Amino acid sequence: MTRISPAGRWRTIVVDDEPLARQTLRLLFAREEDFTIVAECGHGAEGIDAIRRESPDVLFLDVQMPEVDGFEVLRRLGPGTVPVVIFVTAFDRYALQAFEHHALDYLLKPFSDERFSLVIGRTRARLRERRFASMAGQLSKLLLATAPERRQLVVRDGGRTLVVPHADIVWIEAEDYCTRIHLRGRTLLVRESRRALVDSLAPAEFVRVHRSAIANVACIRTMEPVASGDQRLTLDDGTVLKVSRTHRAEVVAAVGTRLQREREGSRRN
Amino acid sequence: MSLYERYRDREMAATRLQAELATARLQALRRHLQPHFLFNSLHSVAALARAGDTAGVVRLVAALSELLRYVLEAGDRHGTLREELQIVERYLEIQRARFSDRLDVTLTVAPDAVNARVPLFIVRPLVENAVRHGLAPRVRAGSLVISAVRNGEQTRIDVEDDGVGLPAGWNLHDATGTGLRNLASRLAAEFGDAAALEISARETGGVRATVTLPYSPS
Repeated sequence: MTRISPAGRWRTIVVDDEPLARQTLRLLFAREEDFTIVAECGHGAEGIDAIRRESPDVLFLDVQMPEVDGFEVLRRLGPGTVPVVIFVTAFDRYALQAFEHHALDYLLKPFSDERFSLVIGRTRARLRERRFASMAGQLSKLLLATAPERRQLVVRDGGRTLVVPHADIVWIEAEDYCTRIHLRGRTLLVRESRRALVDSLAPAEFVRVHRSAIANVACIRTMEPVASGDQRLTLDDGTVLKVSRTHRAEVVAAVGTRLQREREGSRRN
Repeated sequence: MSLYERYRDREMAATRLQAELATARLQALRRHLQPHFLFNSLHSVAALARAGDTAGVVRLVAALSELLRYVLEAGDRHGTLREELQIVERYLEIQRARFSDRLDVTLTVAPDAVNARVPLFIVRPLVENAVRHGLAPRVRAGSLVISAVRNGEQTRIDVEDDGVGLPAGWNLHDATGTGLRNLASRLAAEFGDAAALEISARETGGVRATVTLPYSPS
């Protein structure tokens, strides 16, 4: 699958919709003697064409792009098409969580020269040792987890169909015959059972707090013991929820995973 | 309930209130700063530095600083339309540096409108919205037309884009984004029925956002 170019350099494609971002990668790659950029693309569809044409060894892929974003590029090509994929993103909590979760390399904009060298070093090692199968596996899991239908909730509210991004949900409350979705600043009452809703949520993002409440892990601000021996959770919007003993371990684990990811994220550059 | 418990409850309520206030402030700050925009802009600064374009670095850092200062200092302040539009220009300057090949901007302000007293952050959300939701989701170049006029006792500001347009069935009331709803509620809180925010589809494609509010000289 991997082709070595005549000069023996790793053939690289850069896809980013910002001209300056492409330029900076071009400058950084100019210092790496064993890499050569064979195509620079300003949007996803162009990237797909270039990848099919050039079959590169390495892809530096911006996540947020118009029309066809980074995930969609890989989805359309299939996860094994390019041996090594490095994601580049500025700020997308959801994408970062996904990269961490699937142990994929990424560059957070703006990145230092050192961070770039580190990622290039790992890429080089992967290419030399031909460790591509594991990356294809990680990528296909990532694509599954980031499929558009898993990033948002589609609910019926009266006669209307609403699309609610997961990131907007603070917590979800089960009522007798319906479910109340608390968004930032307002609530939606929907007639779907909580069970159906929960099945469509990304498992790492939400955690059950007690029998009838589910919280967005990213919205948990504090967890503290109260006099009765229970735990009390405070969410971003000021909501206070009791954590039942049966779900306490789950909540602690979810918060722990999140904190660890945040720490790793901040140590990266 | 013992005196101590009552005391402790009150302490806890006060702490919670303070935390809520801090969160509200943080959310407002985050809304105005927009992390995605901020980090991409900083990436552009780094890119200019790597390319040795010192003049470009300085220009972008200055524009970004002006925006940040405005966000940090403005609060609920009022200012002139001129001030607000200057900040919009800084914002667009940064966006143009990032998307030179994709953004075409026309800004026209009637001379009798520039000194109108307006709540700050009244135009920027409309422009950001047009860029983020109208123009950014599309590959080909887009144009943005910003205009402000005075109609007797009213100031009218229009922000038009020729971008992807509104999703089918979209209306302001059901919008999940907080930017526009926040602007609408700020206008309602301050001016009641005397101010309005209208978002409509343009016949030629794209979106027109219009704010009308009572004119008052600064």
